[in-house]
Amino acid sequence: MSDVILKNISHSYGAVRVLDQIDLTIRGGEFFTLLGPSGCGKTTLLRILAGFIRPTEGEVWIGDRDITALAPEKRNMGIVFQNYALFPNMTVKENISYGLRVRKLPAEERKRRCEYYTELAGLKEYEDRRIQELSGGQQQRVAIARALVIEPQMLLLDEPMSNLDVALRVKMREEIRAIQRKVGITTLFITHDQQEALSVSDRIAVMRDGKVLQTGTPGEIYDAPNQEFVADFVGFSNRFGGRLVRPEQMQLKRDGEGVPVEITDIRFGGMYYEYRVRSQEGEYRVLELNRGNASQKWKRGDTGVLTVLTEGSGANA
Amino acid sequence: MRKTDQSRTFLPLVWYGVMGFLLLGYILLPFVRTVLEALRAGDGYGLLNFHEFFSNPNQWTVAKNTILLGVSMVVTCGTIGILLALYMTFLCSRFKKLIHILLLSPMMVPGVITVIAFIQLYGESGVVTKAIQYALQLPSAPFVFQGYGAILFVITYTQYVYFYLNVYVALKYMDYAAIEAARSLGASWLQIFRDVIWPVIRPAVLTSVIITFASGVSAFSAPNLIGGGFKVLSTQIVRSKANNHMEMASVQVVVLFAISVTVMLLVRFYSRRFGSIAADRSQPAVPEGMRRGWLAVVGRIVVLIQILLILLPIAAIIYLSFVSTSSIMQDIFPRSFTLENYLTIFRKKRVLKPLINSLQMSVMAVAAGLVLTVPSAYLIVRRGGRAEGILRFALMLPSAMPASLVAINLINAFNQKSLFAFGQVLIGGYYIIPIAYVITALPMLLSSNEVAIQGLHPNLEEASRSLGADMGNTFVRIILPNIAPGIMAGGILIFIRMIGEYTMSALLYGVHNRPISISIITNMQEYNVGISLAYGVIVILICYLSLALIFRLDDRRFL
Repeated sequence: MSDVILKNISHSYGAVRVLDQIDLTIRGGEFFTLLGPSGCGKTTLLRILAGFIRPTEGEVWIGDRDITALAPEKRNMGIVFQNYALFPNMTVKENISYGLRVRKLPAEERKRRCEYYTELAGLKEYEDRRIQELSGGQQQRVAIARALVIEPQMLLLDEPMSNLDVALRVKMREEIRAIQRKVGITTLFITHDQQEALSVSDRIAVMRDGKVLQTGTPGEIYDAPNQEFVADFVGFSNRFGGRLVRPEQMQLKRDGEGVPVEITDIRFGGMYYEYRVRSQEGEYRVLELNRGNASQKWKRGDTGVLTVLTEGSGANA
Repeated sequence: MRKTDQSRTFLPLVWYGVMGFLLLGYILLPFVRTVLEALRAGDGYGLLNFHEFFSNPNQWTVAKNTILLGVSMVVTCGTIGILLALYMTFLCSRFKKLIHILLLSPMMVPGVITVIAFIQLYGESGVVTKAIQYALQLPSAPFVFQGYGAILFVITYTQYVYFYLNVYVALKYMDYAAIEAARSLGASWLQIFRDVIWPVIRPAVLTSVIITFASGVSAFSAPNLIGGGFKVLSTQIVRSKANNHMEMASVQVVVLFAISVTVMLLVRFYSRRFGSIAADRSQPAVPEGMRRGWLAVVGRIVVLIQILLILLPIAAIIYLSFVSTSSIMQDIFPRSFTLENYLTIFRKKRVLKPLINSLQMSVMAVAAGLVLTVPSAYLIVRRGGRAEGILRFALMLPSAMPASLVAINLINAFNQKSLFAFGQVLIGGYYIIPIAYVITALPMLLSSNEVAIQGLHPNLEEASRSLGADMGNTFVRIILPNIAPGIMAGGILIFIRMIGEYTMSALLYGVHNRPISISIITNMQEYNVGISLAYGVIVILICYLSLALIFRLDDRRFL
């Protein structure tokens, strides 16, 4: 699979610049995520890749081919839309085979591929249903199968999980990841949910105001954010001793070396305890795994000392 | 790439060219011709004709009558329509769907047929009139069904539907929790109506005021057939045209246009002061206790009377269509039943012809109207730039034009060879009536197409294209099948309005295209009452079948 390269892409709607000199390389076969708050330009970037928008400046390449000006129907990109965009006038099977029909593929080939992807998406028993008769999760599977059946060069996922409830989101993102691994297709995933991004991606690009702030593996983004916005967006961080430190990388002790603090609030999260503590310099959050009886028993008003547990390579605050 | 970019702008450009040519030639320039005709003074131009109009006390009376009719119609239709909508929303529980369809049905019967049905009931030899006379042993008819009161009665019965439907739909977006909140805070029903309900329905009421006033001032069937001495502009326009006073006819339509546009602008100006208020509907629970109050009783009585008024004329017209004309004329309660009236229509080519004409011309108008408005609506919804704004304005323009204005415009523009008709004289020919139908249909068709296209998420088109379908393929396989129900429903509605169209027909028909509405009236005047009524029943039947089709296609919009 070829790399997908975005070269110096900028885009403006009238006077509003929504993308500013984006340079990205998505490697063949990788699961790449654009992570950012709404309005950061991630969807515009996806639409440029799909060919619905022609960028004001810059080029889109797949391997050694410039596709910047190619019509969307000639790009061979599979897209899963936020609202799935399933054709309400067709059944599940008709939706999935649509891309093959407009390509005028031989009936036999159509049948073979259709069956394979229907099976892969776990839709065998629903194939004759109308779209309106499916649940949200089933609709999403149809959207994925429909996008994959054309065996696209690339799979584009535009916040596909945002219409699902929390439990289903977790299940579906694992399913999507499993299917992606099995098919081995280069995938661009768009989300504003950092949990989702961290758990499924090979690499992540964090975006804000039309710019890419940092690109890296989930580990790199989380452990070594290159600026405050990235650090805050992928989780909470304390500004401690001039650095950004994650709450779970801090430790409370009864005494010893460290910054003296007072416990101001305790929240029980089941798997962990979250402590709000105050020193003379400021307030911090500390996370501690719940180890049952082995956990330290702190009370509000207790005093102790705060230290950094692991010397991570956080950016300067 | 250059190629795809060009095709993206090239096709719309061609379309704007075609639409520009047609709209200029058939709407804008004809209107200019009418204004010029009205200003014609000898060899030059001036206000002579207007001076003549306004210095004639008879013409003043006609203008005042026209405004009086428009205003009284707004009052009567508004009262009945709003009451019915409130009753149906808050109080009606049994047979709601059936009652709703019945209440909408007067819209589906052409005005001209309604009027002759009313004449059969309340006219000098009408069933109700004769029944009262017989029962009370009166020497003559107890009332004369003519003039202002009779017109208002007939028109109110058909035109309250605008108020009813618009307010009913607006109430669907009413937040019932707000009513309950107001009640819990101690508000009376009157206060609830004023403070909670009225703000929600106000935009719908104002829209209905515009539509109802416009249809009131341009009403033709009722003033023409039962007006007696009460003359209005629309009837005088036809008279001027028949007497070949095209200048006076032009002055009269310009005055009529001015009246209806002034009121439209006034209401628009007033309504701009308020934004529309719509809440997502919460639980559609009817507040407890509301169904038992005196309001419910009054509402039920109004609905019963209304349904009686709706069903009686239709029942009468069906009943009398199976009776021989001589029996209708002579017997108090005609009882000699016959199929003669229907047999005459279907046996005699000459008698069947008007029905065929009307069917053909309406279908033609709907087809042409859709061809013109579907791509236009698509471009307007999806592109929404300045060019589309101009296109939309031009297509909506006929909604401000009374039917007689459209017809007079066409006469003034096409009673001679015209570039826009490729060197033909259209007046006197077959196609002038379908053309007039198309022009008046454009605004409604455009609106219903826009609604249908707005209901289609743009993602569907993108999904189709990303899966490899080009624009043409996407239009045929995805866009059309999904917007077809809404578009067809709009088309059928226009078909129903056109099949019995009378005003423009009266001004434009000739030997080749005599429509059924004209034949209904001439047969009536030639004492072939039975045939006239049988025509009416056939048209009503066609309309109701079409209505059933609309409900199948697009029930969300009405129910």
